[in-house]
Amino acid sequence: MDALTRRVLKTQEPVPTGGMEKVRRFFRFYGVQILLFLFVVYVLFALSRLGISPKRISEGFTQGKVFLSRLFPPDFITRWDDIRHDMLESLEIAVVASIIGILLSLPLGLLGARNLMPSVVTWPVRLFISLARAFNPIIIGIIFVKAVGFGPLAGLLTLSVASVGFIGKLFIEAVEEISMKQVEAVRASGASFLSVIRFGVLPQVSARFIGFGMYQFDSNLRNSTTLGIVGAGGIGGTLFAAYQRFDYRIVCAIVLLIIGLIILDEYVSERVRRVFQ
Amino acid sequence: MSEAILQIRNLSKSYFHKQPVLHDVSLDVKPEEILIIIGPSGAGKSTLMRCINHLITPSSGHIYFKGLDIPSLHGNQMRACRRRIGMVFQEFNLVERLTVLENLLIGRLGYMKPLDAFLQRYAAEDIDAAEALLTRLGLREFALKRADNLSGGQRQRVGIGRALMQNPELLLVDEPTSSLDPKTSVEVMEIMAELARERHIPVLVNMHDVNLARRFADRIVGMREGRIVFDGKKEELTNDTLAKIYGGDSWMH
Repeated sequence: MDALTRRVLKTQEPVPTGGMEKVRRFFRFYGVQILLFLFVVYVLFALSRLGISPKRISEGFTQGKVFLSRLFPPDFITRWDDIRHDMLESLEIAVVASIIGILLSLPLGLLGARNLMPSVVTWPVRLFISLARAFNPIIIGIIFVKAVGFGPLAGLLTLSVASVGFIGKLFIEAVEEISMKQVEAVRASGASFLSVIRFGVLPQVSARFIGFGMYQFDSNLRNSTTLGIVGAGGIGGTLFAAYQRFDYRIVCAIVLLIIGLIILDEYVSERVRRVFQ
Repeated sequence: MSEAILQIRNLSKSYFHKQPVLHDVSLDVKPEEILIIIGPSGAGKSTLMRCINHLITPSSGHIYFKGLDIPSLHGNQMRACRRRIGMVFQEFNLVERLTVLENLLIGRLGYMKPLDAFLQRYAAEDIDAAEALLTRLGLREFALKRADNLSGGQRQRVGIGRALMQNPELLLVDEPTSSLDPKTSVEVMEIMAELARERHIPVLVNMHDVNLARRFADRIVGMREGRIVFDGKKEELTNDTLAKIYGGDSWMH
């Protein structure tokens, strides 16, 4: 409780006499301050448990300088064929997974919206979407690599599930925020349910859906560069292998290429979003 | 006047137990008349109107529209009945991101096959009718503008056009001028009354502007707290009756 509220309340409430009453009043007045204090204590405790001290930090930076000097100049040539193939594979996984995710999320977004559907429909749909979002893509990737074997198929499935988890939820929220007045008007014309969706709902959400789809593609592109670490296809596999062989100049080349790809993607998705405003 | 086109009998609606919004309402709408319902906010005017096209299901009572008992209709029958009743809304309720022409053609959706509707394959005569109507409404040059670019008066004229595109046999008009300035209000009411009379469509209007109601109504009904407390010609609407409808008379002076 802040000082101002405390001061006003002190003048309004009788001073308690009983022991328990006094304790309760103390916690009510100073609860937030106590919580804040405990939080600061926990952060200091966590740092000490992790062994992070000024000495450890300065050792880390010395090691970092050596590592940085071994990164340059980047080596694009030695493994160029592998790098090219895997970069393209990452891109392909991201594109196809985004499209699958969007196609699945469209109906799920409508079925999960509580302003359009009864709870017997929205409840299972929302549960499914929550489960799809529950795990980090790396964990889903490990499961799919075991289930369908190494390679891009596992990555594709992983990112499709992740896409449904995120854009499914965003689509539902977008549909739940629409103006029901426009929907009412289309219903009043005697239009069928499908027409109500097509003319009353979709025009209100289509621009946002495209924005969310592009956003998910950005995210899928980033994730598709790490999935190779668990064997689910893409550039991550080559990157990880280069790390393990201490080929830091190749690592540097791959990292630079990923940065270039992400910048290019940011540029393209910005343009696409502007077109559909 | 001949046989009523719409007969409402003992209609009640409550959203919460023992708190009726409509209380045993009975009302006839006759062919080609402009019937205006006045009353304070919360009198149940909008609920009554939404019961008529079954956007709301009443708790009890009947609404007979050309031999159909509307509250008992479901599914396709209900939608087939709805398309014969046009509705105009207080806040226009246009689909903002569609063009003016597309908004008018929404009035045809109830008549189209599902796939044609989905792909916006409108019949040529529907498009011609929509363009002719836009010309009458003075919106011809706005046909391909998006609805959210229009002013209030223009939007409400699109709303009227959309309802008329249904070729309705009854027009429900819910507070058409509450979001408009006084001059635009009169203009909108004029074009609506003119088009309705031309097409011999009876019109049921909700509003709380008494002067506007006097100007355009053939008949006036006063509602208060879910009941009809006045039903007569506009000449019969005295200050005493108004005091009964709105409560007190200090607001009149």
